[in-house]
Formats: sequence, structure tokens, C-alpha cells
Amino acid sequence: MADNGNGSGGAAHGVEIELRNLTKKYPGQAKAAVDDVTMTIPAGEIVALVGPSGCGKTTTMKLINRLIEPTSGEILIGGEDARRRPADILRRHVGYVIQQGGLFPHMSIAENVSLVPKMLKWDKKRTAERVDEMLELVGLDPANYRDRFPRQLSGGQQQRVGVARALAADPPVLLMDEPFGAVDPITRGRLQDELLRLQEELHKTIVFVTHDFDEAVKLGDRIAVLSEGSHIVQYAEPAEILARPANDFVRGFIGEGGAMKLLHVTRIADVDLGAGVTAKATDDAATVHSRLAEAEEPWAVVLDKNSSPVQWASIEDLDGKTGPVSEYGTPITTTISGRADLQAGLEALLGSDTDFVPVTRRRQYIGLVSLNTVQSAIQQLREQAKQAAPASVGEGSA
Amino acid sequence: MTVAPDTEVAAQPSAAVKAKPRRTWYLIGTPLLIVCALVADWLYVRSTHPDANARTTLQTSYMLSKLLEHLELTVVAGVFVLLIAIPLGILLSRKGMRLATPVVLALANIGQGAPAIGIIVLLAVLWKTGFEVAVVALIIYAVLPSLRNTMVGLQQIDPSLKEAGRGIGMSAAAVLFKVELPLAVPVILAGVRTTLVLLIGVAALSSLIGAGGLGEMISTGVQLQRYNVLVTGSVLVACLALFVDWLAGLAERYLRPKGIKA
Ligand SMILES: Nc1ncnc2c1ncn2[C@@H]1O[C@H](COP(=O)(O)OP(=O)(O)O)[C@@H](O)[C@H]1O
Ligand SMILES: [Mg+2]
Repeated sequence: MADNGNGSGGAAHGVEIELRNLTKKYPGQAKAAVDDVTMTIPAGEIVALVGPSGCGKTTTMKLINRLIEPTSGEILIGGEDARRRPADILRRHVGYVIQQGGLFPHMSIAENVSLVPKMLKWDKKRTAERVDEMLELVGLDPANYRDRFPRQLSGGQQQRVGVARALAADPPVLLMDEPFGAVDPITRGRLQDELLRLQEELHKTIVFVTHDFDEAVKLGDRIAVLSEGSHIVQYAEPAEILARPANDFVRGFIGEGGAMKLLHVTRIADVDLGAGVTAKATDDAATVHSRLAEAEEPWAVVLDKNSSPVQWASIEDLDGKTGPVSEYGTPITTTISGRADLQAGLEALLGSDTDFVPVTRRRQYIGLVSLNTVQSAIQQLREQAKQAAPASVGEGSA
Repeated sequence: MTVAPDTEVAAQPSAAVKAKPRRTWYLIGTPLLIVCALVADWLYVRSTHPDANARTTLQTSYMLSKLLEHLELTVVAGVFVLLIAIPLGILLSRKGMRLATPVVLALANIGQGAPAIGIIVLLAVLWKTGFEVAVVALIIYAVLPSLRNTMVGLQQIDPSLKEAGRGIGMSAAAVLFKVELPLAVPVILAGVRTTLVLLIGVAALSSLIGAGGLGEMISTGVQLQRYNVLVTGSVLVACLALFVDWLAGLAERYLRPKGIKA
């Protein structure tokens, strides 16, 4: 148990991965599959490698855990040269998930998950506890699934077990090679959500290979768009890539509806919201009316004593009225959390009978979102991206 | 299946198919058949009123000693076949040994392709007669199914599983022993079963070069024109083959790793 003390205490957080001038040329091939790649994968982030089939994503991944040895260049994991330890030992500390989970069909789910802890010589009790803990983590009831065999599980469940097996010995780094490529879209969506939930808890460094740009956008804190030879065409946060694709190759990858995808990666709370006119429930109708007239706004948002938006009060309804404004309001039916993305905001707008939807953070009112807000937010994102230094483009691949 | 698609290979998958579990009556079907055959033979022999010559050969003690000789030939040759075929099959399924594969398979094919009687007689002419020679001939003749099934069994394993094993930090040896071999067990056992049945049949020819076995009863029956002896010898060989096939079938059933689809 000497070299892995993290099983019982807090989980091991991610560490940085650094690729330096990494090159892999398969024997007998003219071009290098991975050609002089330099990139830094920040600790605790999900970096999605996305690129067309055959561009060298898998090769890059296998170079990191040394399933393949590089022709030249080096890899640092947590600042340590990956070659310092024997490859087998290194891999026990780097989680690896492949398509369909790669579960061994002749081993029970528990046996599959316990493989790495056993190799690390964890004692039986600790291993068994860990297996249950991991199954719970990925949403499978241990009592029900522990003793089953892989073929008795659905594709999505097998994939979960694959993740549980990779995380069992609490590695700081997780490599996932198109892990959700073989499951149906609904299950895939669920697995993606779950991975994000796990990551909020675990803060691993995750390298996630996919050829699906939307998946990269959804999961990646950063996306590296790769072309042949694993050349980094663009390496940046999803919003930036969407707002400002480096070139036509990236644009082609984003495909149709780039603006819609941009909505997906932007939180409502992060854009300039309309402040609107607000009123306390106890405010006098006449004062609110004059404030609306002054601001040239048709509606006021009435907040309760916890600052939650509860009512709309229209300037017409308040005309010539006195007394608490709450007596003239109509209830607010739709609000949206500032943590939701703009796409959800847009949907809320389309589904509501008002032109504005109040935005809340921890139930408290923070502003109004309207079609205008969404539109100007997208424009602004594009502007911001333009001003950002072009440093994100083609980092490293000389 | 990356092995040359000759008739032998075409025959093999059916052996692999045999590995499927049969209905439960298989458990009692074969023993029942054996008992029936033996009883029928006994009734037949009794009806022929064997003379003194025939009776010497049909004594229980004599038949038992021939049966034991036959089993000894089969078991010794079988053990050697396994000792050769399984390690060789493993070796040939490793990376870097791909080139040697066709050569070895071609040799093994010749062994099985040649008439068994030819191998036995040829070896006896070139070398000597007796038990050892018979065993060597049997090995040459029966090594192919076990060898090929070991290779096929290992080669058919999804490469992504081996990679998953290495990917989570298992050593090459651990992947071989904990992943590849267990997954290949059903196919390997099907090959072993074919080998054993072949051995029982061909061991009947060993008597030609003085290595004993149930074949002696058959030759005696032919020489003395005592058909009851001839038939009894044949029935015993057939029953032994059925019995061994049955045992191997059970082994296939119970040694198949749980979790592998039958
Ligand atoms: N084991 C190998 N031997 C030779 N060439 C390979 C091998 N694995 C991959 N390649 C080649 O390297 C290139 C990159 O492959 P890969 O990394 O699998 O791409 P991706 O995962 O992006 O689809 C491809 O042209 C592929 O044909
Ligand atoms: Mg790939």
C-alpha cells in the first residue's frame, strides 16, 4: 500500500499533464501519427481531444499511459517524467476507459472493478469496500450488480462499470477514449451528465477523446481540435472556439448551428442581463407606476421579502392605483436559474407568455433575460473572442 | 479465425460448436448408449457360442488388460499432445510469432492429413516397433486439433480486451493467464476433446507394431476369422471413444468460465 495512500481519505485530485514535442511514427508509415505535439492539460480539468477519425487521437492517448512508446518527445504527469516508472506501474495510476468499457466477460462486475486495487496489493476488506463505493459512485446498486457478469448488463451500465474500474484505485488522471461512442444517444446524454457530476466531486484531470464536437462542447473545460498528425489546430475553451473558430477546419467541425452551440456553453448569469424595474411587495402602486414611466418600462418585477421574484405588475394595471403594489400584480410562472445555459434561457423565453423571464441565483432575483439579451450576449461573446490574443491557436505544433 | 481455411479448419468450428451445452439428457444419453452397445455385444457373442480360441480372447481379464493398454497409449500420447500443443499454441499466438504460424500449422496438417496407418508403419520401419513408437505416431497424428484450437481460441479474443488489460496496468503475463487463457478455454477444450477421440480411434492401429491395445482383439478376430472377437474389439473401441467424448464434454461444460456466453 506504500505508493497509493488515497483509498480511504479524500480522493486524489487531478494533476497536470504536459506533452512536450511528442512524436510517434509507426514503423513502415510515411507520416507520423502524432507529429511534434506540445500541450498542457491543466490539473483538474476535462480536456476534450476532438478531430476526424485517424487523426491520431487514440495514439496520443496511448502515448500518455505508455501503451505506445513515443518516437521522441516527453510526457510529464504531475511534473514527473512518465518514463520514470515501469509502464505497468504507471498505468495503475492512470485510469483508462475505452469504448464499451472493455470489461472482462469472464469476471464478475466486482472482480472487474477490483483489478487495479488488487494489483496495488490493497487488502481484501479495503478492496471490497472500494468496489461497493465505486459502484455506488457510478449509480449502480452494489448489492444488485456486484456479482453479475458484464453480459448481464446493458451497454450503458457496462460503460459505468468501466468508469468505476478506472477510478477504483483513485488515480489522479483519467484517460477516456471515445467511451460513450457505442451507446444510444439518450444513454450517452445521461452518461455525459453523470461524468460531469462525478467530476464536480472528484476534480480529476480527464483527457476525453471524441469525434463528436457536441460531446466535446458539453464535457470539455477546454477543447483541443486536432487535425492529421494530432496537430493542434485550436486549443481553447468551448465558448471561444465556438465564437471564434481558428479556421475553416474548425468551422467545419463545429458544423451548422455554431451560434446555438454557443448558447449551450454560456451561463445566463455570465451575460449582461436587463436590470428591469423591481419593486418590493409593500411598495406603493403609485410610486412604482411613476418609476416605470420614468424608466419607460411596461412591467415591474415584484420581489418578496427574500428578494425572490413573485409577481409582474404592469404599468397599465397600476395606473391611478394606490396601496401595496402586490395587490395589482399577476403571479410569475416562469423563472430561470442563472446557472442554466443560454439555450435553456431561450427555451424558457419561447415557452413563456412574457417577453422577459426573471433570472435568479439561489432564488434571489438577479435580472431579466429577453431575446435581446440573448442576441447581444452572442455578439458580445464574439467580440470578446476577437479581442482575446490569438495565443490559443495552434499552440506548439510547429 | 486467421488460420488457413482448409478443410481441417472448416471441420473445426463444428467441434467448437459442440462445446455448446446440450440438453440434460446428454448427461445420461451417452452412458446409456454405451451400456446398450455393451449389452447388445454380449448377447450377440453369447448367441455365437464362442469356441476355445475365441474364448481366450474374450476372457474378461484379457479384455481388461487390452483396454488398459489402450488407455495407457491414449493417456500418455494425450498428455504429450497437451504439453506440446498448448504452450506451442500460446507461443504462436504471441506477436512476433505470426510468421512461424503457417509453417507450424502446415506441419501439423501433414501429420493429420497423412493416413494414420502410414505414419505408424513408416515410423516402425524407420525406427523400431513398440509402445514408444506408437505414442510418437499418435502424437503426430492428434496434435493438430489441440494446437489449432489453442491458437484460434487465443486469436479470436477481442484485441480491445487485451489492450484494456494492459491499459489498466496488468503485465503481459497477467493478461495471458487472467484474460486470454480463461476466455480461450471453451475453444481449447473443444480441441482437446477432438484430440482425445482421435487418439482412441488411432490407438487401435498400434497393435500393428506390437504396442498392444484393443486393436489386438480386432486383428486377432480377423486372423482367426472369429467375428465375435472382431466385433467385440470394435465395440469396445467405439464405446471407449464415446466415453472419453462424454467426459470431455462434461469438462467443457464445467470448466467453461462463468459469464461467457455458451
Ligand atoms: N498499431 C498501429 N500501427 C500502424 N499504424 C497505426 C497503428 N495504430 C494507428 N495507426 C495509424 O495512425 C493514425 C492515427 O490513428 P489513431 O490514433 O487510431 O487515430 P484516431 O484515434 O484519431 O482515429 C492512423 O492513420 C492509423 O492508421
Ligand atoms: Mg481512436
